[in-house]
Amino acid sequence: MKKTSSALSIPQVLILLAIYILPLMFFGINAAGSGELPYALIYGLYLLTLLFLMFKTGKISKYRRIFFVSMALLFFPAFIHDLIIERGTMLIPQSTVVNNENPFCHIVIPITMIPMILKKMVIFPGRLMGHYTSIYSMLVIWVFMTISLGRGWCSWVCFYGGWDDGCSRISQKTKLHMDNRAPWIRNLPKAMLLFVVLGSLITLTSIYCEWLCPFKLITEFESPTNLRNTVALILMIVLFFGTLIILPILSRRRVNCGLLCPFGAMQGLIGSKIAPFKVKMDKSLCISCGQCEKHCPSFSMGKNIRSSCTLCGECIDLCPTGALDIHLRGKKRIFPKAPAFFKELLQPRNLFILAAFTGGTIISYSFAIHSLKLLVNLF
Amino acid sequence: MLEPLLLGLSTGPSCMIFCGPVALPLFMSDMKEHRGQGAALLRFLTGRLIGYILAGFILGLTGQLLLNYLSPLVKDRFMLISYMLVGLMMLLRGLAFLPKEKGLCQKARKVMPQKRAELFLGLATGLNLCPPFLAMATRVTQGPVKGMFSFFLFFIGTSIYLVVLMLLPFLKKHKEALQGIGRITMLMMGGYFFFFLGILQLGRWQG
Ligand code: SF4
Ligand code: SF4
Ligand code: SF4
Repeated sequence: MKKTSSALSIPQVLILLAIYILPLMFFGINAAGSGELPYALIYGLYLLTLLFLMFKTGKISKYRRIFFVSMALLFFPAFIHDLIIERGTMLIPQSTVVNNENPFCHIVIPITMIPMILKKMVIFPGRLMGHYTSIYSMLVIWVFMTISLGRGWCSWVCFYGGWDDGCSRISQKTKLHMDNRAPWIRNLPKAMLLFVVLGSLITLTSIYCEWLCPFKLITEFESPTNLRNTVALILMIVLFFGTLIILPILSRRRVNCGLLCPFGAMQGLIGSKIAPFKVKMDKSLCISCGQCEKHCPSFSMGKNIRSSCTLCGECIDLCPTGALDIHLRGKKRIFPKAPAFFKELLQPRNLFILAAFTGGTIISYSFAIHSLKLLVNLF
Repeated sequence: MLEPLLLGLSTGPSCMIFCGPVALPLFMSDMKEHRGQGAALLRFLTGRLIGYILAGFILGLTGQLLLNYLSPLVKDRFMLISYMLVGLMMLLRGLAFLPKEKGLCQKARKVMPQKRAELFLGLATGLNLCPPFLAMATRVTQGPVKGMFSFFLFFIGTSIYLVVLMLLPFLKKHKEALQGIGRITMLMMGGYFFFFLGILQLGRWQG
């Protein structure tokens, strides 16, 4: 059976864009600092174009990836610039650790939870509130995004994920085969989560941040003044190039996000249970061509779709029969009796794209326009 | 007289911060049925009890003398060695689960069978100088017999929390996955104890 096109008509696309424009304008104008309005407009237009193309062509993954990679690339210039303005260096000075002023990132959330419950302490030297990278603001964003998007966070909202997602599509051929169904591949993400949670209990510090985070290279890290910090620096460089660039290029998989990130593993366990949107397979349409399993970047497609699915849309676009689609609470159509125009317009996949793209927009706007301004000033 | 028991009960959750990371992967990696899990936990607790009784005996014998001698540096060194031993045992146990027939994995299976690992890792957690252990140690002053008895009561108080591990067999529906996760975690945790908490900290040896 041939797949029916998911492309929308121009009036349908315009209705969806009109809904998107409200948060876009609100956050765009709010995020723009002095002299940043032109950049806010450029970024807004860029986002509108991507969303337009996504709805108009019915192809999710390609335009999503362009958005996701640009988000990752636009995150670190602004972040590093802010750090240098605030403390003069990318290195972590002792004073920010002592004064609990390190920026808190969402990846540490699963690691801080158990000590919070058992010892009533936060084992990360970050600000509790009053800053956009504070612990409470990150927790609020996380709860909100998890309830609405689940693990969709990891293909639409996270400002780190674009690195291995982008690199996983650089090569056309798989040079390193990583078997989705191998038990160690299935178990590694959860083992990693368990390991960093338990290991962090022993020292009451986040061992992920100390030793295993590849993103420190593009955010902040300790000065290699002693053996411990030198080993940490070497590990960080190896992990950055190995798991975010080289292995994803060779294997065409998101090696860091699919196997090693503890937040991703937790989102798979919790987020996929509570979020309303899920990718489902209509087995009656499946011809077992194996395209979905071969191309899923997140190791999420085996015999069935796993809870680690990031709703990236890759398999949906590639499936030749339309057996795969995004469902809302188990339903492929939420208004089956509505006129065709609205039935198509309000199908779960479009609602999900709208919600997820808006989530990514809210998270990225501020740093994206800040980075754009910096880059333009640089040249 | 019941003070050590109450101390154990009140500091038990903190004990889990050290014992949990060792015990959970150890038991998950094997995922036994109820009876087997009971026996395994008993072996682990026996090891832990031996550690506590030994500590009670020595501390009772030497009184506060030993504690006074235990300067932060000596405590640090003791912990370093204990972390490396725990790490080595966990690494060996993790390697033993790998499917390779020959070489290191085969040797690891011989040196560190599961039952031995349960007993020895229990012993290592019993001799760990964690804050609850030290809080208990400062209270032992009246001879070896009383010392051992106090530590026995402390053991009872803290061990109650480990009984949650008896819930593992109820998850038998996920046995294969939990086993796999436990085995990988075992290797990672072993490496972490041995290398990151052990070898890399040797620079502190000189004080
Ligand atoms: S797996 Fe981790 S790094 Fe990757 S997208 Fe998700 S949260 Fe971000
Ligand atoms: S892509 Fe996957 S779901 Fe679609 S027909 Fe092929 S095997 Fe079936
Ligand atoms: S199962 Fe499909 S939607 Fe989910 S991560 Fe894999 S390719 Fe993306």
